[in-house]
Amino acid sequence: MDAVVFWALAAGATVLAVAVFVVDSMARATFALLGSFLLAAGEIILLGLAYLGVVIVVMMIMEMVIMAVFMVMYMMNPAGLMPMSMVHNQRGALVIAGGVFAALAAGIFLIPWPTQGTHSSGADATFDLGKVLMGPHMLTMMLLGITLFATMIVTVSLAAARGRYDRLGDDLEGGSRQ
Amino acid sequence: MGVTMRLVGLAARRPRVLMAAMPGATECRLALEAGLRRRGWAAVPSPAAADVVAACGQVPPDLAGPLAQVWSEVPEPKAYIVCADPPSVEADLDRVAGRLADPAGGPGPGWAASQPEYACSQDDGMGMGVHGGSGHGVDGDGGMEMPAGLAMADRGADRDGLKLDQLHAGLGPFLADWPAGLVLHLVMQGDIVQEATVETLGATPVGSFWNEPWRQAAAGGEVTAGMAARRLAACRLDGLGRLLAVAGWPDAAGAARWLRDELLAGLPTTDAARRFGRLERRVGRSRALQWATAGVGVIGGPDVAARYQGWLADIAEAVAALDDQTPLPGSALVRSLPVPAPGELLAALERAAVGAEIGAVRLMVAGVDVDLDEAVDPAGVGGG
Amino acid sequence: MVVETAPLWAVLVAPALLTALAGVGTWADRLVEARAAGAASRPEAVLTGMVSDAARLLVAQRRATLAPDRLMWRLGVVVVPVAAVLAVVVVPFGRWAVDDLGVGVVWFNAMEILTWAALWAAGWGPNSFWSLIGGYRMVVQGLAYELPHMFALIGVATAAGSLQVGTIVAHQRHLWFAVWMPLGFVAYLLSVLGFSFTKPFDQPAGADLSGGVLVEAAGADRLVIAAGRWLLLAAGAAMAVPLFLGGGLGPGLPAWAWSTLKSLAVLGVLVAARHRMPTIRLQRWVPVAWLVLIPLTIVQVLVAALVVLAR
Repeated sequence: MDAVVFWALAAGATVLAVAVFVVDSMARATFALLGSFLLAAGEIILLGLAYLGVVIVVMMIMEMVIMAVFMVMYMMNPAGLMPMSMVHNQRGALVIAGGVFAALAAGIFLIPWPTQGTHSSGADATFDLGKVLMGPHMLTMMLLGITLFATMIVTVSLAAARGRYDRLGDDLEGGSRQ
Repeated sequence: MGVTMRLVGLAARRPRVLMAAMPGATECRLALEAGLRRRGWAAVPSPAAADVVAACGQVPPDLAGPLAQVWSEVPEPKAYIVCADPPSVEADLDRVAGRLADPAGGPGPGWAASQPEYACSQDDGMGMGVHGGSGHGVDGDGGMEMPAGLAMADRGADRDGLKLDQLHAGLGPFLADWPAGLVLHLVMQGDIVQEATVETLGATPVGSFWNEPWRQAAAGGEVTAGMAARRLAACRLDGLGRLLAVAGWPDAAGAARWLRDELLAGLPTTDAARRFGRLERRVGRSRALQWATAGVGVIGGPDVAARYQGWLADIAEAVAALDDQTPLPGSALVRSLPVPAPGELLAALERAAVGAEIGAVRLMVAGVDVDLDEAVDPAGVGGG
Repeated sequence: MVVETAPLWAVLVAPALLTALAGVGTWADRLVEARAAGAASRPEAVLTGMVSDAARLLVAQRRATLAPDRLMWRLGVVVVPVAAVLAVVVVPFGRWAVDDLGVGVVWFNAMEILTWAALWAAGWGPNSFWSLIGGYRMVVQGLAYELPHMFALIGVATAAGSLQVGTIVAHQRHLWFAVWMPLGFVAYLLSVLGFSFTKPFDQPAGADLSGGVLVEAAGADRLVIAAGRWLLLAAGAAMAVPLFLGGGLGPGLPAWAWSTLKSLAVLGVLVAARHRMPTIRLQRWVPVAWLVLIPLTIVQVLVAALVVLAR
């Protein structure tokens, strides 16, 4: 049963990934990519990593919607009506993609995968994965996350010309609001 | 078949009406709004949501085209009425309900399962209908194959110094909660207005319904100050209802319009004062409404928040004067505040819309509460 | 166990219960609005109006605009109610949930975020200026409510030490989370109004855009997206009960009765909020969300973490 689901998700993810380059609109390409990610998240859930899988769903929807906005903004004219090709520098792209695929596929066969049973606590695979990935650096990583987040907010709010100046006036002491 | 007809019958019990307000026909619009309220029918903001198009007043020749455009965007089964005579609105509404319940007898191409979708007729790209769905730039560069025959968008400098696509769109003339006969042609970049041009359609020589008592007094008729106060209060409540509807507060808008109609129907002073007090507490003290409208408005003039507070003050004053039996002097002005004439208001609107977000533009238009019918009122009457 | 995974047939019952809750909400909402405007407002007349509306949308044609992206449009419309139904998979009704997933809270979060994508696609699809602006407004709204929403959920999960809704309910045996995490509760309720694009956070479908993402939706499309909106609101109200109000726990009555009563109460509060104020413009709201709400909800998470450490 698991095998059937695995192959169905894998096939779906691959088809949608191909669709990213076949469709002629940025909106559709982005949503095809989103669909591919969602099916890949299904594979992760199938591995027993429910938390990681669902978090991928959360993150990918947010990111792809925002990516759609940017893609349309930069690429399309007029507003997505013009069909456009999703591929350029085809030969170079194919070489890079093929190389990366070969490297990752080789990795699958070269890595000494743990056999079942070495899983220590046995209770929660997500917990174990977190410990393996982060080890004793969990607190550092958490702090880093918060710092990055704060930096992003501050950078954007300082950089946006039409942000606080628009709202608070040139002297930043309130004033013109539209 | 049986099930479908049952559903059609059920649907016809509560039609959804798109009101197309015509210039010079305020009375018809008020009668229709009151009729809808009595029946519990809803007025809707877009053709796709409607099944009845109700023209409020006779359709002037230059509005027939836009009206046909709107009609073509309403899904079948649908029906169309012209309410040109306020007393017969009830009969009109009965007739339209009957027509909806029996779609075979109605106007339009007839609907069938073979027509699962409907398309709007392609307009000239200026978006004269309620929405300018297809209004991409007008200067097509010939030669290239464009999807659906649409032209490439123009580009223009935006406020941040980038070069962005421009879209030509239009607001009006048949937009819900919008002054009758007004069209605002817009050049948009995203949801920001780059250019705005006003056009007025369907001008009539009738004069504004709201200035009627003053016109009568000027013509030597016997009008009391109380009658004029009643009309002024109703006028301000009409503007308030429109603003509240655009601001997305249908409850308060409905309450304002209900009180307006009751006042025009002769609501006694004590009831009027009590009910207005309730509305004033609700709207006048709403911090959310203040927050949404402060700082939005015509450059150099009061913002929308100040304007609706002014209207509330006007209404309070007028409601207190409902029983005033002194005769109205023939030279009286309609508004207690000096308001510029419609032409000046529209020019100010064109300037203020530039650089504003489309939602703010809707609030601005509702906030100036322009009545194009006033343009033909003789000088001295009304005052705009 | 406070919450158990129900037998398989609950898959059919949960959407029915959600629809019933949404129906009650719609009915109350229309009743209040009709009363305020002096319109025909007998309770049974309002119910007839709902039936009539549904009937009309079932028989009316759907709309075909000029050069639409039909696939994206239909996909966006359909995902709205689907997201709501999938979200309630983890919401317990009394003792029973369709599936009390170990990552229930994150699952709910993921399904709610689907509305971002759905509304953007539904706004994009018709090739209509007004609906496109509506779709973009939903993204802006999402960026405003999402982080406070997540921090509210993280606060709850931290306090309970689990992402499982059943465990979260069990931790409120003595004290509801709403009592000692009021900021998180308020932020959560605001985000429910946000993701169901319900007034006062209805700018994506705003009156100033003649209906925004709804402007071109006719017939079945309109029925699906309008119903989906209410299903989302009902799902959000129902989820507030296990997260903040102790789920089915309570004296005297059986658990399902407490769940029902509490869900209706939360829905009542949300419907009341709809009528209290006009639409909040995103231009005004986004700065408040980022500069006030996000810091406050982060402080709320910190409080939850300190309480857990002290226990």
